Amino acid sequence: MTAAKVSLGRFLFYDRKLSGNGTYSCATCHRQELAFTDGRAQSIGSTGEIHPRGAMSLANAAYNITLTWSDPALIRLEDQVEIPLFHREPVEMGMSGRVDTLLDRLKSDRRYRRWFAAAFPGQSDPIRLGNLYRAIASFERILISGGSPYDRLVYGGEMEALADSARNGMGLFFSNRLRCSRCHGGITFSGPTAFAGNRPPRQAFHNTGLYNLGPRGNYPEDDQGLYRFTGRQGDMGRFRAPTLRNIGLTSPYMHDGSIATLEEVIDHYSAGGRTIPTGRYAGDGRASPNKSELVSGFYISRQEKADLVAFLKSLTDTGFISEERFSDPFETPVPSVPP
Amino acid sequence: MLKPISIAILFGSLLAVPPLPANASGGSKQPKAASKSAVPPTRSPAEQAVDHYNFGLKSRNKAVRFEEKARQADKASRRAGYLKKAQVQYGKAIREFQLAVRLNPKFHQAFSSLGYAQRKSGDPGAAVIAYDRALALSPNYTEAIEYRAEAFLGLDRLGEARKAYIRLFSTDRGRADELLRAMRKWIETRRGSPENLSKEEIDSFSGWVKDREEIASQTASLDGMKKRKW
Ligand code: HEC
Ligand code: HEC
Repeated sequence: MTAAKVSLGRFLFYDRKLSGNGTYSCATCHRQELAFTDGRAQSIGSTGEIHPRGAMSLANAAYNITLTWSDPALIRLEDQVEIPLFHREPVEMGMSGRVDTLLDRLKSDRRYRRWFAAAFPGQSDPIRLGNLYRAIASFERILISGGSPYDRLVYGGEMEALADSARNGMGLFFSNRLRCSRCHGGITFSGPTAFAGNRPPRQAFHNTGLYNLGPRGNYPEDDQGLYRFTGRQGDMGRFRAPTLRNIGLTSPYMHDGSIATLEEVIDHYSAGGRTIPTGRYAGDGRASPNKSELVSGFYISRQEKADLVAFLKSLTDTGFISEERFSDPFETPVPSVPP
Repeated sequence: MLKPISIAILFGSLLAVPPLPANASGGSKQPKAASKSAVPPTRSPAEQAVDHYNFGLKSRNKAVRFEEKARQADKASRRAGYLKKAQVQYGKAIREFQLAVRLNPKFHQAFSSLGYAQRKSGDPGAAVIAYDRALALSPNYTEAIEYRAEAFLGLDRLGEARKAYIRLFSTDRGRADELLRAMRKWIETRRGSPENLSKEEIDSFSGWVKDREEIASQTASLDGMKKRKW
């Protein structure tokens, strides 16, 4: 990782040239002011196709053991870039079968010729797909969010950084009664993290009882989580616990955006699963045979619920969403030129 | 006053400061074994410094063993005897460490060990000065950050001890946990003999320690995260 790669990656991340019809960049679905989500329940691709899942926050993505909502084998950020660019189910940026078009577009831009050469010195033909992946991944790795009021309390020692309500909520979050931290753990609030010196632990995927269709506890066919990759019924509806950092900015919630507010998310856990009374997805999630045993319901008072929400909002890092280095470089009057 | 120390703290320091090889501090390459009793004058100053440092460690380890015996002693007179022997060894250690830093003024481990022995012989003021030197040479030396904070406690400089804890919390969680235990001990001791501290001061510090204990119980260690290489 070098400054030149990061800088190049930032331009690429924000460049609409990377989509087939020139309307989309990565940042169309990963907007900085929304902690790099898109505010939609489910994303919409550059050709209007609806993605079965919602865009994930990219905060601290570098520390995730696996990437995306439920792929157990996608590990490197470099490998992820290919999916929005080239995959067709669904179409996101719509470059499928058009690698050469993409590279030609970059090659015909004098700035990219210079920037790729600076980022990948000594290569005779640096404008290549692998280098594009590397540069974008380098940019993603600097998207570190660690300046929330919670961090100021815990790591900065500012004992007043959280108001009493949020502090109570913090106690609830980590309590054995609510057990939120059992799945949303660690520095990322997203389960096990990877870093040098530890052998990456196994990723954990959980079914939180959002759906219970048919006798086997299915999820809607659009997205059945880990089951999609393994075909094992026990993996039905199991997803990665996403990061809760900046969660106050990233509604609506869950892989399909099917819960609108944090209060309702807490109701869902408190009930031990979601009950959908009528319609296509009617079913009692509480009774799902595939549900995690950690989601067994708990009593929570109104005040406690407010406290927990206050705590979740204390994970919002305003520095992260206003950090200049993460912002759209095409918007800045004088584009910062890679060294 | 010499304050009680926890075994965990001792283990921490013993593990952290292994004897150095004779050419560790940038001395000449000539391998030469340190003689048992005296430092041969033919060796370079840096090598001699390491030799003195290693002698100092030996004395300190002896002192630690006497303290352990004192803890296990059944009779008060015996305990006092062991503690006295421990103090003699700390005295020796201090002299060796002082020689070491005089010979090599850049020897941050020796400054830190000097501080440790001074603190154990009841001189936290001198210890703070030694740790300051160690940290001026090596600002991220967490051993010195931790033990200087314990010396701060011995001097009732609570604000500085708190600051050190926060710093260790994200850089060396094991040492942060040790320091927090030492703080808890300090509170117990101070409640018994507050000397010139007010009850409010002790209560306020105690509240802070309780807060941090709770936060620590809710927070996984960050150690290692910074090591990630891309
Ligand atoms: C159409 C909207 C859309 C576009 C454009 C898009 N993404 Fe995403 N992104 C998503 C969605 C939806 C997910 C969740 C994917 C899944 O679970 O399969 C996601 C997930 C990710 C993740 C995984 C995060 C994590 O924590 O696991 C990364 C990294 C990512 N996108 C990077 C990018 C990059 C880089 C680009 C540009 C090359 C990009 N995205 C373009 C919608 C989009
Ligand atoms: C069994 C593990 C588990 C436990 C326990 C758990 N979660 Fe989750 N959480 C998940 C998973 C998995 C998802 C994603 C589920 C999905 O989309 O189907 C999730 C999603 C969320 C989301 C939505 C995130 C987003 O970006 O859309 C929030 C908010 C949340 N959880 C908060 C909590 C709180 C608060 C608690 C404690 C009351 C809690 N969780 C307990 C695993 C868990």
